[in-house]
Amino acid sequence: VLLYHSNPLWNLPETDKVEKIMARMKFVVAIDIQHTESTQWADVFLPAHTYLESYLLNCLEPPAVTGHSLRQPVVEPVGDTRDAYDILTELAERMGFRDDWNDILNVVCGYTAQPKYLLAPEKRYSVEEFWDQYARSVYGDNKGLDWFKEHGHAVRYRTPEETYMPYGDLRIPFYFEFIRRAGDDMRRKFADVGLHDWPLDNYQALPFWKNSQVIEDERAGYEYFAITFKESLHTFADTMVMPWLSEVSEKDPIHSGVLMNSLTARKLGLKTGDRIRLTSPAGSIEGNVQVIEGIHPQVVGVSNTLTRYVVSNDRAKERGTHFNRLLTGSMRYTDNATGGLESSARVRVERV
Amino acid sequence: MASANIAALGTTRKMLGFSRRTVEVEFENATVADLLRQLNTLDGRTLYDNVVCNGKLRGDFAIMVDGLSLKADQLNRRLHGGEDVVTMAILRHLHGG
Repeated sequence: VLLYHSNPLWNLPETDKVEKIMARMKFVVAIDIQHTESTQWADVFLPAHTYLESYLLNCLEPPAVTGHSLRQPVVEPVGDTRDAYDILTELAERMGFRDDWNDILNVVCGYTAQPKYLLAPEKRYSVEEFWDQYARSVYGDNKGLDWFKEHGHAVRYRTPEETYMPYGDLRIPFYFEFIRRAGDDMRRKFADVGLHDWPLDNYQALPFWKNSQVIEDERAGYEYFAITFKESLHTFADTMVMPWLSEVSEKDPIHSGVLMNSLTARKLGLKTGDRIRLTSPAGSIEGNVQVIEGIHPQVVGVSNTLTRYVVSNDRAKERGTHFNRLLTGSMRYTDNATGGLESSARVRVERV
Repeated sequence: MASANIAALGTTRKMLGFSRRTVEVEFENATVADLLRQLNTLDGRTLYDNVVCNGKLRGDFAIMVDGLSLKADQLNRRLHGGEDVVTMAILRHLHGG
């Protein structure tokens, strides 16, 4: 398995199962900028450049603006690290499929619609050549990487037409007949191969209400809803290596424990700092109570931002709340039309 | 006689033994299907034989003409000359954010 800036042991539900899967892997390679719970399983760890050391032509997302900005290296790379693109290209070359790697990039970068920019299968492109090609494919031959180095970005405000009529004169469907057709098609194909336990009831053309399994879990004695949230100062977990950001976000008490409404805390006889265990149908976690007013009395909140068991930055280490251990990965907790996973859990709360 | 600029990616590149080539289409009013029949593959057949089933483009291959992907039953699209034709196996990938 190849882990590329990815931490499945933290991000996937049912961590115990993920651990068992990783234990069965014969060879694990990890490309990352820091050690994580997942890279601990790596036979080979290939350290990549951080955002301070590397180029990225970053696509600015709507709705307000459109365009790309160039992230440029501002410091020399520290230690024996390489740009992640270079690592993947080198691996592909050594394993004898650089031609296919270039073709994959051709598809991902959309060069198939502009064949003049197709990467040649026999050539190895440097990081700068790669971004230069991409910039030219989007903005024309007079705006390559050098243009972006000089100007920084090609970002502009979207026009009212782009903002409010993103599909031009095309109609926006209200009745999604293709979803229903896809469901019917899958039902026929599954029947052909004898697959009968895959639920297809979500393949409907119009929105409809269906209780999430977490609502049903109340009957099994799980009284509270557990939710999770992130920290606006951080981008996913990558910025946890930035001490300044972590120092600021750590001062916010919402990240330092299991958030609980004062009414609920009083009912359960708990106060800030008390150790509690949350138990869902999937598993349990422990943490310290943080009593606040800004949360519903039937809900407990668990920050998933600053907690880590394994990370290069000691400040971000364990606080005992790994929310995803509470989530279940079965189809009962998954939207079978979109693959979306239920991201809250029903839990029991008890003092440890 | 019209020409078409072929770019073959991945599996189709290996079938054909080249990645880029400009080819002369052999007769008037040729279609994409005619072009595929004209492209010999290393296994002694043609690209048409390899990627078409019952007259339709197989679901695991894609053909783009001037940036637009053809549907399975659009192989009768006429070529007027100078088109960019990209052939490739479908890359199934998931992404999100």
